[in-house]
Amino acid sequence: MKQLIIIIICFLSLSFAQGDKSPTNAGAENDSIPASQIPHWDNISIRGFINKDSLPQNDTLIFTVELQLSGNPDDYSFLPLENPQVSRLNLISTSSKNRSEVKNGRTMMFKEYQFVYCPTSIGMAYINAVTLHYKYLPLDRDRTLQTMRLGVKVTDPHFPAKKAKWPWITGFSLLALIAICTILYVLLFHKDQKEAEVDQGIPFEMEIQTQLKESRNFLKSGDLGEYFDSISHLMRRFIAEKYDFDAQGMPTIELINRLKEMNINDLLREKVKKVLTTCDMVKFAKHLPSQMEIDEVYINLECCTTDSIEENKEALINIDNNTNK
Amino acid sequence: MDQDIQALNERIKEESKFVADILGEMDKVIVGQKNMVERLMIALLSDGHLLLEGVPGLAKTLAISTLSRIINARFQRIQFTPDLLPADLIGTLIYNQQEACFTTKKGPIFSNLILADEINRAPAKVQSALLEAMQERQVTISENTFKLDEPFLVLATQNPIEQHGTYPLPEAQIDRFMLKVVIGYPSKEEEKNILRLHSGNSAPTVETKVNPERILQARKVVREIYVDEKIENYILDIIFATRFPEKYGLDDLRDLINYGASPRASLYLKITACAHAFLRGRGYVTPEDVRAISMDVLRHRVIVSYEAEAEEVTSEDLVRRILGKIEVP
Repeated sequence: MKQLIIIIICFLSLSFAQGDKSPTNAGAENDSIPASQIPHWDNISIRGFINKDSLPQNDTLIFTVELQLSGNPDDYSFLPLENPQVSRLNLISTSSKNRSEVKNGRTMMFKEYQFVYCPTSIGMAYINAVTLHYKYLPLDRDRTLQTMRLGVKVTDPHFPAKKAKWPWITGFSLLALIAICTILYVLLFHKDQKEAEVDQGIPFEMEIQTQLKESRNFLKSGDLGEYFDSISHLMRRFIAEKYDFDAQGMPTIELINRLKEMNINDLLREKVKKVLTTCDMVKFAKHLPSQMEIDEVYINLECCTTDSIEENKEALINIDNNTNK
Repeated sequence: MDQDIQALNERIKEESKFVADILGEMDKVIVGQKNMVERLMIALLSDGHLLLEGVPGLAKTLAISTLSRIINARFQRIQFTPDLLPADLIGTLIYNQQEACFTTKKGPIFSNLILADEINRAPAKVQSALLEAMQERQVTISENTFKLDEPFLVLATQNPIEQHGTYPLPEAQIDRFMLKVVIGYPSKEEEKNILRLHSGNSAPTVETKVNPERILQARKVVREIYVDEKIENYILDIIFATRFPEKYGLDDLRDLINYGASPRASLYLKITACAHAFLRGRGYVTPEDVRAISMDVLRHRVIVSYEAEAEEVTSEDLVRRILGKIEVP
């Protein structure tokens, strides 16, 4: 009787000891099998893992299912592994490989299933547990192994900054551009400024007088049309500058009427009218001017400009006198 | 001056003397409205037609009826109404019971000076009949074609108010009017003279000063007036600026103009500038003549865009901008 009790206690303790050694992610036996016939739990195990805990939306994720086996592999028959159920992930490709290692004198067989995913949206993505079904052939028993459910954080897409090609070309172009701009500035703007400074010093009447003298060259070359054209242009410019309105865009009668409206003195108005009317006759009516008319328009315009210069001088003297007072 | 032009200038001074007589007679009846009377003369001398726009009571009818008396021409006034028929205008065939045949009854269009009053109140078919007669200078009734008498001038009026129920003239038909003149109210001084002149018992009368043949002769002389190439280029610059404003430094007008002026505008601008010079007794055209008449030739030929309408920019504003920009030769 005593022996029977000891045998029962040993059996129970052996049973409990067997249960404590079960791995977390290993499968559980479906039926009760005599302990002597069950393969050691360490002989076969499965685990799933991912290559990163978080990834940008434009990156890929590799999920690996690793099956570890020791002992005789011919004792097992595996059913094909189904693709894992996933959320917010798109399966891009799958692959599998086998390898063997010797650990502590025991030959270990490994089988790896790899799944490559691309995230579909930002947030948490999940890979559900993968179940592997197999049969232990010596006992003809069906068993299952299962991995854990895994999560991965999907973040905003990441675009690495492109490296500039041939940075020396960009630099050189910039330098060349700066050099060209500097040269242009010196040539145009600076020159214009100098010219403007010079121009500011000369009254427009003097300029007109200079151009008037130059217009005599047309007479020497016998080009009457050009001569009267330039006289008409200079007279209009004189009026435009002196009275500040668009005399260049006005026909003669309109211009004279405008001067009348502005109460410009009759003498000047008559001179302007005479010059412009004669010019119009030559320009638009093929009028052949007499030498007297040629000289008259010249003298009248010269007179207008000289009078204007004198007026300005007198005005300046008056201003000075008033200031001194 | 070139001998030919000098001779022409002298001739025109002589030929244009009758204009002063006509204007003098017109002054007896029409107070103010110098611009309208002058444009009427220009249209008459250029063999064109006139579209007048103004509110009622501005002496439009009086002006043309007075002119017809002065030049001894036949005058007809046709009031355009929605129920007017083309036959009412050009005439029709009437059955003669005594002779048992159809005879042609000519319409009021068979006159020298026609006042088409409120042309936009008649339907398109009547407008079309008038405008066809204006262009072709002939009218076809049944199978017979009749030439219209010369001089033939149509003065059409449009009322800018009361636009409800009107038939606005299409652009293509408006283009047939040589000038579009907009007339406004007379000044206070002018209106006082009108009160004194027309409120008495006796209406002012005018005398016949010339006959229609003299007008026809003057028309020929107008076409002989010398137009320098510079003036022709100036005219072309103005016309082309209405079509391609961006080429003349008027980029901002590009979106405001839908259609620029037609080649007919170039022709009319040249001939009316000649008539303007004739009225001033000159045998040659100056830029002043072109500028003076440009607005009346172009205002109905520059078609503004929707953007311009939205910004309340009128064709007159655009023409004014163009004339201000194009440099006078």
